[in-house]
Amino acid sequence: MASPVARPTPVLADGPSAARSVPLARLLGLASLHLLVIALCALTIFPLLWMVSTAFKDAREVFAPGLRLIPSAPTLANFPDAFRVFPIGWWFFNSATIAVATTLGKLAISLPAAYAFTRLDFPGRRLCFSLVVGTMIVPFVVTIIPSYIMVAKLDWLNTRQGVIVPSVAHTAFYVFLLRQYILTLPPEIFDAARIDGAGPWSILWKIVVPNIRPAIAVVTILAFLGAWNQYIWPLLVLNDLDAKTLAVGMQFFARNSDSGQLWGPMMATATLATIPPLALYALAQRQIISTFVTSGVKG
Amino acid sequence: MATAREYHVGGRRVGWRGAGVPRRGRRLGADAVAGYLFVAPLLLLIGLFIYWPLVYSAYLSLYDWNLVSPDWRFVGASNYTRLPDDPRFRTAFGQTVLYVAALVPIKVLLPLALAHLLWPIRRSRAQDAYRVLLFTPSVVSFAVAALVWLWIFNPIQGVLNQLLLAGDGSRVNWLSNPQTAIWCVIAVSTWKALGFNLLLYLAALEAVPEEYVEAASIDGAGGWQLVRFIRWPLITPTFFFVLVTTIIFVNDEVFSAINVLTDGGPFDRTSNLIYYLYQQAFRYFQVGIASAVALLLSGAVIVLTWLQFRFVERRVHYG
Amino acid sequence: MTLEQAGRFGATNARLVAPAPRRRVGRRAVILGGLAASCAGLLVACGQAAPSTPTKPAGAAPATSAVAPPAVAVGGSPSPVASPAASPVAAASPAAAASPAAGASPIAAASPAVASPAASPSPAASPSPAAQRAPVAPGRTVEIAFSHIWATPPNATAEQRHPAELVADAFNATNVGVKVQTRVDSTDYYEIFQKAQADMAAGRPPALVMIPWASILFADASLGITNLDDIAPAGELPQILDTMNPAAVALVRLDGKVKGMPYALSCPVLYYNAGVMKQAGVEPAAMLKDWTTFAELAPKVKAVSGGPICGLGGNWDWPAQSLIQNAGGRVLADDNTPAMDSPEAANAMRTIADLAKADIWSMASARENLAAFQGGTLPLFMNSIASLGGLRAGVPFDLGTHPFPLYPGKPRRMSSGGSFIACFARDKEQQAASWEFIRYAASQPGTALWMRTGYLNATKYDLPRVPGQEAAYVQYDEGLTRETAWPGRRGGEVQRVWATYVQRIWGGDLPVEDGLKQAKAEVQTLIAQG
Repeated sequence: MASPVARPTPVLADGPSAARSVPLARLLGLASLHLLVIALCALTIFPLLWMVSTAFKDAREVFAPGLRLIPSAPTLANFPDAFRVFPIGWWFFNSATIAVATTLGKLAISLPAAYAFTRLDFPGRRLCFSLVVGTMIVPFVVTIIPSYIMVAKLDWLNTRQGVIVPSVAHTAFYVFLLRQYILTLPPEIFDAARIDGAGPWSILWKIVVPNIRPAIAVVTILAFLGAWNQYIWPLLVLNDLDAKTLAVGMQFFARNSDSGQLWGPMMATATLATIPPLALYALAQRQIISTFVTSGVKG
Repeated sequence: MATAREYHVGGRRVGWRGAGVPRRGRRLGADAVAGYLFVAPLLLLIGLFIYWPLVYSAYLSLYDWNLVSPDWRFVGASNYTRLPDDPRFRTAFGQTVLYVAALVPIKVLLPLALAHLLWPIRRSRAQDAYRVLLFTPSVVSFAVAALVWLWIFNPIQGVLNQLLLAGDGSRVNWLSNPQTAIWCVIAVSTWKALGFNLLLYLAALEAVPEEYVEAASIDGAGGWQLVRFIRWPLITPTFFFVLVTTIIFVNDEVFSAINVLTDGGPFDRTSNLIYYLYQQAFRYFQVGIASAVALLLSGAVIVLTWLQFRFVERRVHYG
Repeated sequence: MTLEQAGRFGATNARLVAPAPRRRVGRRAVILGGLAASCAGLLVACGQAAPSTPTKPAGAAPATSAVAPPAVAVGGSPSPVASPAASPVAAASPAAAASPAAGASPIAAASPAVASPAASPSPAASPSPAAQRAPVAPGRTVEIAFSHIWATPPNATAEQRHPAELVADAFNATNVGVKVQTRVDSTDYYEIFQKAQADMAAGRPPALVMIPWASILFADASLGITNLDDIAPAGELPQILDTMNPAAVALVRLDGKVKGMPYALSCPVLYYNAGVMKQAGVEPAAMLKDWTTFAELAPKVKAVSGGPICGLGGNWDWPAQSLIQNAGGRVLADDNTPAMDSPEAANAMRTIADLAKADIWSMASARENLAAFQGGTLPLFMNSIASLGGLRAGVPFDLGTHPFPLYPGKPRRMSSGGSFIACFARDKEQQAASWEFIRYAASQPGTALWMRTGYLNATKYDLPRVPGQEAAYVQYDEGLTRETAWPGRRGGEVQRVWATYVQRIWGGDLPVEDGLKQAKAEVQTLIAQG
């Protein structure tokens, strides 16, 4: 494995060949490394490319034997077809609403809590924090049946709030992440604020939030992705066709015996469903990495 | 820093001139109130939707109830004791062990190897591009991933079978064949999770202070020794995190893949305990049995996590 | 774990790092703008902007469900592929008419036979829904939900919609103060059942649901069906039942109460691709006479098609019941004990297992088999007569139908399938409204509309038959037995367990005798737990 430390090319007195062989070996090694990784990337990306490719193929070509990545007669018809088969517009809207609301909810809940656990001293703080951390270990499955019963009693089945509210409860991870980041802030700025007589609320908004923007960005992105891609809980709560989210709707699309053969429109739907997460990721990947480096990931 | 306006007790600044009542007490009071207010919503939510369900599940597992009828039959522990007799539970249990045994090493070790592979070319445009590409599957939802792979595994028009047909003319029923179905699900799950863990490991490697590495290589350490004594210990926290979270979430993550690809699989061969639970509760309306399974599963996960903390965590090097 | 451990677990290399360098705003804006533009473009192209109406009330759901598979043109009655006659966990045995608890008298000696009523005259006076009837709720329209599994392609014209929708529309047009809202949440009986249960858990039971015959015991035990006796005004129920085939009525009687209105009655048949059969030089009637001739002539057909020649279009256990019965066996005996390990049943199961091993029988899924049949690569297709309309409209070749092959020396004993309209409403007004719809659906105009599907005539009315149904009526005339109704609170699960065993035995995963023994033991355990 190549050392990260740059080594100066040794200058040898006895001839050019010795001086050349080291960089050549390294070059070959690097080239094969690149090739390997490129092959891996191609393999990884191929399913998604195939998905997009099928989305633009017409029905005949979808079912024709043979493999063509680029459709011979690209068509946009699958997209309107998908909308005609199922209420994709509703699915999109539901997914978006639920994702946004869940993200905002998680932020609103976890930010003050993270600050409180870091900077505010109150009796029982350690106990509360243990409780919060404990929820990260409680597996999701044990909560679904009683949560479902509760949501049914509240008459929240088939509603967006039925999906959002229980999901917001699973925010311990973000409390953790934010807490780690807040811990990295120097205590002096808090003390300075206290001198000026600021209360906890204004400290939260005027000091903490501006300084942990990268962490907030990451929480936002991860929470949004998580909520957008959420599967088990919406599957249980959302039964009405119009109320489904994209993830659940696509499962319905695929397993429904009537529509199960409509691969073109299905892939079109899948393509549409992929755009928002990918866009978000493309915009924010630097942020994610840098925050992980700062707070050491895990938390 | 002490100024003329400030009071100090024992080296700690506790108040400042101008306050009548000792600020310390008042500050604590205000802090406490704010503290409670700030954590109250969180505690309320986790109490309602995580801890209360835990208790209620335990309660439900002692009854035979179908979610709608007003009569509940108390059955005590028989929901638990009858489980081993149920062939489907046994299958699901075996499958769960298989999933964990196969997926955890793949998801934890493979990205590590990949991260080391990518290390020499870090900080280059190429690595950025590779990272983006390899992370993309993790960004799409599981439902999308499963759907795409459902299409790829299609026995008539799917990519894999088309390749096979062109190759040696054979055809495999990937998802209907009990031997191959579970590996298909595992493959999809791996494909999806690779990028995320890879990212974590790369970040951890990046966080290794350069000085250590330079110092070590000046002292004559070669590539492998650098890994073993410098890099590896310093990324053990990440490794531990990946290990713990993977074990906790592995069964959840395959749920959507199973749901879309095989619905439990040919003869329940791709089912796992979570899927068994889902079927019992929401297909057959056996809430008691489902709750019993849920508790067993949670108990197992909690015990596993505790074991990891007890025995593995002490080997983690916190820089 | 202690707090310190938690803290360490989280906070390792915490150190201050300069915040990430700001990217050039321009690049981000470009990406974002481009994506937004393309999303907007796609959405506009799809002709659908942001949804216009707010969240609809939970009770009403427009039937905007699946489109027929690509090869199928819209027309006729596009019934779903998965056998609508039986839920995926369909039980399969000619159980006696009576429930195990109370002894309602069986119609026939051994098991109730549902014979075709071609000979009996039409009843004199059919209750006319257009007659003057007191409105259910004076001055307002009561809305009830009707949940079924028959989706209509979204591009269909008014006439091409599924008859279930046509019946609902015709009823709504009679203006008796009741409006029926149909909903097709799934093309799978089990899923609409699940939905009904979810609604009940939320305190809003659906008014009307199509329940498969096989699930009658299970549905009643777990969800509690509202008896028609309790919701029909005095005298009206016997009047309606008189117009129905008595054996069909026997299928819905439980504990002396009428649990629903028989409606969708079907039986399995064999569809075949006439072109491929001719190409193979095989006369369908000769080959499909019995299983011996089937096995003899199968290789000739296989030579043309290249792979397996016959496959199932629905769930595994429903045709298995017919096969076992044709061989002289039973799935459940009259007292609801499992009887599938008899030599006759083993013979039936072995027939298919051998065919599957010889790669003549396709073990692919129903969806795949349907696609293969429609595409012309699978010559024979075993499915419910109810899918006749959809198949005929959707296949490019000549479609033929034929009764099941028999066993030499054994009588024909096919099982029926389908579903009945069950009421789950608990509210008096909803119940009265539900009865109004049931009356109409079972009347002559309602049934006439319904007969446009491939379903068999469960009434005594003399109604035209769909061409191609002859094969089904041959079986109907000789008597269809009841589809196995799995008893007990775990009935749903039992059904699926048995279906899995059928699949495994046919697929060679289990040897025939051992598999049947295991199946019997497990079924017995589950039933006993009910």
